[in-house]
Amino acid sequence: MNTRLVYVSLGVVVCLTRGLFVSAQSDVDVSTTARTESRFQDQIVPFLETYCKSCHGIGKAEPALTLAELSSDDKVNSQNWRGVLAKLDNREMPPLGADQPSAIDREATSQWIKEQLNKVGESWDSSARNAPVRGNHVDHELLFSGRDFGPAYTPARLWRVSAAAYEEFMYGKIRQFKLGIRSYGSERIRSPWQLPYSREFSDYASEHRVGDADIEFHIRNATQLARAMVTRFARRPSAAVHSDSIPGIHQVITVGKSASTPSLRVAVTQSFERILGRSASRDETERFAEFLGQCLRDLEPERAVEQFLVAVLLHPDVLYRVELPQDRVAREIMPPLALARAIALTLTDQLPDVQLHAAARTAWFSEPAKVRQEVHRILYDNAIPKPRLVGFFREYFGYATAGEVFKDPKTLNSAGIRKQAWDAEIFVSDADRVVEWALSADTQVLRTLLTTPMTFIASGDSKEAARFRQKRQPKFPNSVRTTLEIYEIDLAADAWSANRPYEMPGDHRIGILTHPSWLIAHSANFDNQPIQRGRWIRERLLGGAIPDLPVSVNAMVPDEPHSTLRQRLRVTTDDYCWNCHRLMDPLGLPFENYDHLGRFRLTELNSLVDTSGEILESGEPELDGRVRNPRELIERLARSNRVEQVFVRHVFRYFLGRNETLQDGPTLVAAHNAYTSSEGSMNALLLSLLTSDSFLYRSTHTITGSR
Amino acid sequence: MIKRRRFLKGVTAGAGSMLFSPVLQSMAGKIDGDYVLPKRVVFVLFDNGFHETASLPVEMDVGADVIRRRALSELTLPADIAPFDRLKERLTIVHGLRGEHVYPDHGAGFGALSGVAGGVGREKHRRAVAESIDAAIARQLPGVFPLLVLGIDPGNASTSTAVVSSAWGPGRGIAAQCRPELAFESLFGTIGARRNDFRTRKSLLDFVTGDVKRLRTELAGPEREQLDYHLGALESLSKRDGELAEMYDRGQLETNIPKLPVKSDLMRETVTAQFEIAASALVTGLTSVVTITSGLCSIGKSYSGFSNMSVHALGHNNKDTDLNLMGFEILGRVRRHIAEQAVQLLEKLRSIPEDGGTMLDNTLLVFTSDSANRQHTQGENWPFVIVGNLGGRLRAGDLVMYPTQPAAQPRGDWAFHIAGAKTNPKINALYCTLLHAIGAPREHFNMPSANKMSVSQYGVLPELLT
Repeated sequence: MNTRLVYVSLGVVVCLTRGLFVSAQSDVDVSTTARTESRFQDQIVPFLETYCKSCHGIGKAEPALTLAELSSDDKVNSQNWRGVLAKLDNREMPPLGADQPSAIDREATSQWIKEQLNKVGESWDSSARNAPVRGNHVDHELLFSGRDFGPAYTPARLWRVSAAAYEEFMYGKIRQFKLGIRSYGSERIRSPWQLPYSREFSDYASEHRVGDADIEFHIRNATQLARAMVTRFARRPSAAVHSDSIPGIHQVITVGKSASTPSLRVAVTQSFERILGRSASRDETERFAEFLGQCLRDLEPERAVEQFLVAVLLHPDVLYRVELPQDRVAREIMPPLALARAIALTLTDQLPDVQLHAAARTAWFSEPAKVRQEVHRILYDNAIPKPRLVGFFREYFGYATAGEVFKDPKTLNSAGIRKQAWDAEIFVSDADRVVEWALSADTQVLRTLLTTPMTFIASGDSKEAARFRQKRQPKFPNSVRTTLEIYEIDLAADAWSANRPYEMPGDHRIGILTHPSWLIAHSANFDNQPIQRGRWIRERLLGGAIPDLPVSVNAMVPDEPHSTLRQRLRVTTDDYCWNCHRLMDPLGLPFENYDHLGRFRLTELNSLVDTSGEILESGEPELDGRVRNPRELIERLARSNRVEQVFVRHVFRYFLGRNETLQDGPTLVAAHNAYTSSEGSMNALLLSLLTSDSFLYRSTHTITGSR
Repeated sequence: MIKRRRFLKGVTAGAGSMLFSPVLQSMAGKIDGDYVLPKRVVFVLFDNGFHETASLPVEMDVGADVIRRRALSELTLPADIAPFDRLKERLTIVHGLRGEHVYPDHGAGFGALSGVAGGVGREKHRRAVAESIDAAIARQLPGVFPLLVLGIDPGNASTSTAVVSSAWGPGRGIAAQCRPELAFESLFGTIGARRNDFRTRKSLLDFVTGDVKRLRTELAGPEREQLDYHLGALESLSKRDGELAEMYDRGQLETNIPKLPVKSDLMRETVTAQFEIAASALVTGLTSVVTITSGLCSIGKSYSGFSNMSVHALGHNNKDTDLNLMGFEILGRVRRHIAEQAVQLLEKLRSIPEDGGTMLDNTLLVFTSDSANRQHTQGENWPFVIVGNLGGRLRAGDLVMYPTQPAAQPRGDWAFHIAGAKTNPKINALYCTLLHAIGAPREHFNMPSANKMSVSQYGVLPELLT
């Protein structure tokens, strides 16, 4: 047990709590202090008595540090309370096997600690709780209980735009103003940041910040654009009123230092409209006009205007989704333009199209019916690319990293595969196509993806496959032949099509979890990764949470060439490790039916491979029990209502860019209902989520408690 | 330079009186009058491991259950680090430090310099969960660029920045500039510019800071912290540009300016360019702490300019049939090139007088891999080469080997097999030692489980101190 807090006696705790929290609020009125005290006595003391004292009292089993040893230094105590908070939030305490508090008691205690830490100005690790991997720490049953925990909203926030959206904005301006900057070669404008596909959601709103290197990079890009704009606007006659020019800027360049204040204001308002796509506020108009005037006094006109345009391009609107409540009140729907931007970026990774932008200019856009109409239009219009849908499944299943798992040529050779004939990216793009295929049918999307034996073949952009498709060679290239062997599909080159799915042997493959892309992405250089596979199922399908790896654990599976991986995993079965590993290993071991190259197998080291496993403590009793092979495991999971709900939770996280809270419970219930009542339509699920209070509303409330 | 009293105060405050060990008391006792802080520190990281064959003098072998010390003057350096031969009297080679707790297999990510794991797998490359040692030292040695991180992404010349090795603290990673021409521009401005661009940019940054500040008032909690990071970056860039503007006006940037790097797709040339930029930044006083990370604490694409094979395959000792060389031989060439560039940087510092000696006398360079001793390592031995003695605080000129032995269960034929004793010090102990030696002592460096282990595993390494 790692926690350093030791519960000594209630008297000491009360005393120290006063020392910790009350001293910092000496100017707070007495009644507040009394309320804090009363809440502590009524709520926290019984909690500590019931769940902590048996191990952490004086002379008990975990004497790591007694509170009596601590000074009354506030910092020291607050550190310990932060430790308690982390243990509670991570569900590491009380330990497995001990009596557990109800979800509500746990949340309430956790909330109390956060409130007190906030009061004394002590930070707690909010980022840890905000991380995607912590999403499951919110109690599943409570979320779907239908209980009301207060109105749903997303905190007022900034969400750094994706690399694709950033580049789309910059190229949008290049096209709009006909700047002639090429989209290739050394002139090409790139985003300051790139996110590789990950095995977990990589683009949470709270996850990414804009630092000095990003700003420097963006200034370079902005300067390149601004310089080209100045060149163009300087030549463009001021009478031009088309959107490919900014007449006010032309005017300022022409008259230079002698530009009047009104003409500077015009230049500002036009620049905001044409570059940022919105009106400048009065304050912005004044400040930017003053800045432009100052630049004109200090620099020659072209250079001054360049500086001004760079300043506009450095506006937070370019780098972030700025999501604040309308009229800046405590909880309100987002302003129309911000809302339109949120909808477009959420679904398409692009800025709003003309129709959405026009709709957002109307006063009634913020009405849910209108929002629904626009979201519906985008979702159901197949001509609008929605790369984020496939993006979600890539990160949800985590199959897209298969190409990054290096397979040693010697290992490949020993498996009868030549190095040149190995291209795991083919599996990834084929899995992408399976996802697209399931999305296009839009019926029982999750169940289809979990159970289909279908795959596409060499359908993506891998070099060899693309060349083959282009030239229509009479024989498959080696990499495609290897792919076919692993899929166990017998197909002649002249009968092949990239645009239709093929069936793998139904008794060998069942869904994405047995698709080579997923198996390889969850494998190491020489072995399968049953622990990571089991963890995936525990977290992504069952909604369970696995505590962090303790720092003292050296997590290594022994190298024993003559033992199977299942045998080597015996190191995880000692009591200390098994507490967590029992939640993962039995879920991952059925996939020993495949080797680490994704090939189906019946034997391992010349013996029949053991593919048994077990679902334990799933939260849905009908699910629990032993399974003989991956098929049994997956079929059982695919029928589960809970699995569907957990899937909905993940969809929420990806598209809202944050973890769910108890207040989001009704949103999730409605989304799940929309999904089930539409026979498993992803579009219906997204329509529900993107028109929910959780998506539409923002609040400036400080986040505490169950968030 | 700090006074003895301040040093002692730092020792007692940072380390705690119970840790005011005989070693520290001895150090403190030796400080007579002023304590000369080192002026600059350079960290050089490379990927794919620092093999024992590449880091252990050729006369030496693993296999001893006691701490061994040998004078390097009696030993021959292996080819990979032979360029350091001319600095032997300033050199320390350390073997046997452990780093299993940062999961350095395929690169430890932020763990290499922080000594703490942000997670396993990708997590360790994504999450900065603690301050890194270069940042901790940079806090003590301020500069216009508090910490200059230069990266080399093998085979990916288009990578411009990467946050991979260094961090001011949890969630506060520091970006590595991976394109020399852009790093050059940040440091020295645009060649041929007629006006002082730094000053103009400072005004711009100060102005846009206003927009961000306005937004800040409308956020709370973690969302506000997120924007604070942006705000801090703007203010730090503005401060930096202000200082650069003054240096530009005084003509300081023109002295020792490196030649404008030619954009190259070859990793070999990028390494050379980054070291030249680092040297110039140190000489001009733009920064006091530099980290050069080749491979970005992970596994890159290819060592272009050395081999067309994948970095990963070379780490498995696969053969490059074009060159008819085994992977390890190519890794040796890469390491040697990096070592040569490091030595050139140090020689440049040696050529410049300072405080009655040369700049080299006031410089420390730490040369190691982000992956301990091999690509698929378990962190059982993490070799370090250290150049410099921190004004006499470090005992240079020796090989120090903590107990090591051949691994009991070697696997495959592609790795060098060694095991350090489980009770050997962690890499954190070395970092802790560096902090003590520069007068910023701590009880431990990022070792939250320190209370569960012996102080010899995380505390100051007496074997390295005079």
